[in-house]
Amino acid sequence: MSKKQFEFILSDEISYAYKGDMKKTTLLVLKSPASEQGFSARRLQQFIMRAFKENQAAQKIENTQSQQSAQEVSDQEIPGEILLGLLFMSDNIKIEDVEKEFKSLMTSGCCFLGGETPLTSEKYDKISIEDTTKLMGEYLANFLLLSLLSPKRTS
Amino acid sequence: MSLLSISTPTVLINNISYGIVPNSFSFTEGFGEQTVRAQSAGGGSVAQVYSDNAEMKYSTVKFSMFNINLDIERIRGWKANRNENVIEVIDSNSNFARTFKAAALTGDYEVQLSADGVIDLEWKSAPAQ
Repeated sequence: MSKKQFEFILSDEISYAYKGDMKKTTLLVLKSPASEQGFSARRLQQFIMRAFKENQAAQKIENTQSQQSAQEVSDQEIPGEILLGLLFMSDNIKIEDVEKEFKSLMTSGCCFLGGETPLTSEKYDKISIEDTTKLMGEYLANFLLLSLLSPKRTS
Repeated sequence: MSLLSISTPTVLINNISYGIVPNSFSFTEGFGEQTVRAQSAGGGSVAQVYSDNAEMKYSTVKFSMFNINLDIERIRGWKANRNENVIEVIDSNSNFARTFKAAALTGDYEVQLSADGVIDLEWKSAPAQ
């Protein structure tokens, strides 16, 4: 069974308002996208598939992963860095489009500051570029790639 | 160093930025009121007694928003939050920033449904930080 959420630790603290007070945290709680975030999630999945199609080596990884059952696919086996590398190296995918969709996804109720308040566009902009890059790799690998690679149900 | 007056700040309420009516934002720092009285020390001399009135140690934040349907609903939500709102005002050009915690919309604001309608908001909060 695929996981529903995971935690990500930022390298720098970020401040946020919560119930009338200001708090600081390095903790982000990421939740799997719901239908509400379907447009951005599917666009990102489309980018991933295009990148896979372009890259033969990645195709091999996809094939290997596809043969495993959903239970066998663990978090550690999903290569976030490799996935990002493929997206960055792709000739046909504009990385700014990927970033735009990812930001839209993160600020639509999938990411929670300190696990308690939704990440907003304004707060996303305060996160360092290193952290957003790592976050993108982790999120794409953990949720979007995983759902693409899960074995299809047979009736 | 050039001197710039601040007139177009970014206003964040509960982590989200909102557009406001230009030149409508004002605030008080929340230092409260202090008084100085003269005390007779005898022989014609006096000493000054400084008093700090804690009753007034809160900030007032005022600004106006246009009567956009979405904003009318948001304002209603802020009012319902009681004093669990946070207002941040930032001017990135001059590194100016103030944060107003525990902010509450105290007045019963008036919503004007007209072509040139604005909603005047008055908040009370913890002293500015």
